[in-house]
Amino acid sequence: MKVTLESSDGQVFTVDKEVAELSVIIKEMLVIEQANQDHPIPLLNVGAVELAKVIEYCEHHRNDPTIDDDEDYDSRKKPIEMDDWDKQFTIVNKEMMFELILAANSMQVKPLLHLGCRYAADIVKRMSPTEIRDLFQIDDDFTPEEQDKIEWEKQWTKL
Amino acid sequence: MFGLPELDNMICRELSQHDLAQCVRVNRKWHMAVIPYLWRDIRCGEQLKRREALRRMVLEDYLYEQQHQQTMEEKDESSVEEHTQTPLSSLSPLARKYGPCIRMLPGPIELLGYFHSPRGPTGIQQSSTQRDKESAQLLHHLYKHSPAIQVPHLYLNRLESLPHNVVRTIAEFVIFRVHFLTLGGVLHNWKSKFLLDRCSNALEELTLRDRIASDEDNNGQEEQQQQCKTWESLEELTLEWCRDNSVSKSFWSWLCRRCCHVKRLKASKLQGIAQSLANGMLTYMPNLSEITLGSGVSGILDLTDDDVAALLSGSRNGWKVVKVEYSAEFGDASGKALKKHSPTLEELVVYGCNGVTDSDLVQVLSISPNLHTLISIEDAYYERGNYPCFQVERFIDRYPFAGSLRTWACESSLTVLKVKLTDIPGRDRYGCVPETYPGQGREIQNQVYDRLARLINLKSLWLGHRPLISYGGRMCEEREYQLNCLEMSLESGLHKLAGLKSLEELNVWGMDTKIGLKEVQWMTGHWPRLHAIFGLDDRCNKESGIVCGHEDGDCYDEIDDKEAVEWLWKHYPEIELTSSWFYYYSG
Repeated sequence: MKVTLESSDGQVFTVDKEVAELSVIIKEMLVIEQANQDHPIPLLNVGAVELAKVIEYCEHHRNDPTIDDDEDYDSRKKPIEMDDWDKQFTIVNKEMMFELILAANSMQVKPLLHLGCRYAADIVKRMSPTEIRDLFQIDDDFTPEEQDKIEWEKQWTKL
Repeated sequence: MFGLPELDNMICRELSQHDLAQCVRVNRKWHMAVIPYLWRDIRCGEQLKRREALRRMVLEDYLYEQQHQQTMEEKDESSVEEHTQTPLSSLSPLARKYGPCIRMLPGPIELLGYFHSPRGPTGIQQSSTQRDKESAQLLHHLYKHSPAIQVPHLYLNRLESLPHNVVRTIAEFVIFRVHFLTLGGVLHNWKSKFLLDRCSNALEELTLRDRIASDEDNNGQEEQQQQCKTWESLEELTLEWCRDNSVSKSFWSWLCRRCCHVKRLKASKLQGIAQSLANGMLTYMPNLSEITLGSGVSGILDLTDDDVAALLSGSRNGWKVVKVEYSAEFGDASGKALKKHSPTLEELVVYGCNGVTDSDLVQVLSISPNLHTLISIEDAYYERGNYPCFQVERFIDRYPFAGSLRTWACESSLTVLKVKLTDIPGRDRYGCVPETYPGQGREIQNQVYDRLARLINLKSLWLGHRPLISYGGRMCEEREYQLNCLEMSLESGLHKLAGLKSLEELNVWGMDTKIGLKEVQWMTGHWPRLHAIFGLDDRCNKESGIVCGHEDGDCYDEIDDKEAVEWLWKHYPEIELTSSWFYYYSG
């Protein structure tokens, strides 16, 4: 069975139902609106480029076992294995990846979200604050006092 | 980072403490998002620098608070109208600020060690008592400002030496969060009761260790009259190294009343308390169903036959699982006590147990209708080479005159059987039991197969094992070689086991079997679930260099085995031939 999805900029995608159902949000919507499946499902927060990429991911992972997902920080589980396809998939520019993370989050595609967050964490790892600022093009908005305070607080958190 | 807490959470959990410390310095937004993760786990491990930093942080924070309180009081006294806060320091106190983010802290005893710096918490030379006092104050201060900590495990040894104020701090802020608690030291005094009384329903496992002797107060008697609370989640109670004296008898009923939901009891090294404990168990602990007696690590006998018997009689509704380890003595009294639990008994583990006989075990097998596991040998450490063996005639268990096999109650329930059979005659080899008439060995083997064939749901059958024996602390592999054992060949009657369709695991390690190509072909053909035959390849495995029973070092003299193993490697590569246990433990 096919399902149609509509991106925020009005582009329509037709995919297999089981592919679309990797998104928790779509799965729930399909349960509620069983009657009118003729209308495309609108995804207001996801642009066409990202949606295409999300669908590409879901197509590849359509047969994966579902991971149950309890978001407790302290119950660190073994990270999900990244296969070669996933590694290839993450070779995009970082802006694209961050858009994808947001898309995966709004559509609740859990495995893609995990993949994206690992990717984001990998970028930040072993970077100094200045490097992070440069990369994300964000400003240092600490006042000198705050700066001092942080330097002082850092004394025992630094390794 | 993303401005979405759930995304920040997923990213932060991938980052190390060092990375998090960098992230908080990026900008305000990142600082806000990341700081809780940076403070979440502040255990220091072996890092002395971090311990010292933690000590200084708590100290400064504590002094700040003290000073602040003082100025507030002074202000109140002089009733200053203007409420301008005099900045004591431009740096606000850290523990109070980030305390709510903390989930994981070092344990209280560890913390006291950090705070108890030789220079004294304040850096000035002080007497030891002064230092004790101040480290206790710092401990209290840190816990007071860490309302969200999690304390899954807590070990408090030498309880009697803990200062009173530390015990109070632990009782106030820590003990009710604990899931797994170990208390050591003199137990029958107000500290242990005080702490135990403040445990919450979070408590899942409780271990009491060390002697029980002192008796500092007698307030206990009043408490006994009151309605006591019970720990609803407490399912496992461990008692080790516990001794008794006349004044501490009441402690056991005090404890048992609170442990009414306990299912599993582990007892070792008890002196003189078995009877009072058993009384408490019978009266107050109706849910007990699993018991482990003795321990495998010590060479000393610490539970006598009478102790074992008393404790085995302490279950109101019958034991389901009974494990007896080396340091417990299993004699006639224990055998009688165990017999009473045959209607409920599901699992009996006695490898390494001292004194249990094959008659005891056959009795269990013949009268326990729910028994699914009997383990009397294991790939495990043994204290000396002591484990029960079955004299073969006892295992066959025939009626004395009719000669037919006695029916065992567990015939359809038993799934795991690990036993060593001895005294099967007939091998033409030095050291073997000779046959009294020709063909006797085969006849006996046939009867053994008949017996085994009745255990129709057997999944795991071990007739051999790979023991590691400790001699004065050194572990040695015991090259035990069974000569008077089953041949396991089709000629000797193996085909009688064709009905064991559930069999998954066969262990013949160290046995002088005659398993050859046609035997393994037969096994794979008749036992569809078979996934392990341990011990088959020992004589062929050049790497292990083990030549069972042969001094000449020729690995290939049993040519049948080699052929069989190679056939299995080729056609059934999924069948495991060497237990991973051995490699795991022998490193």
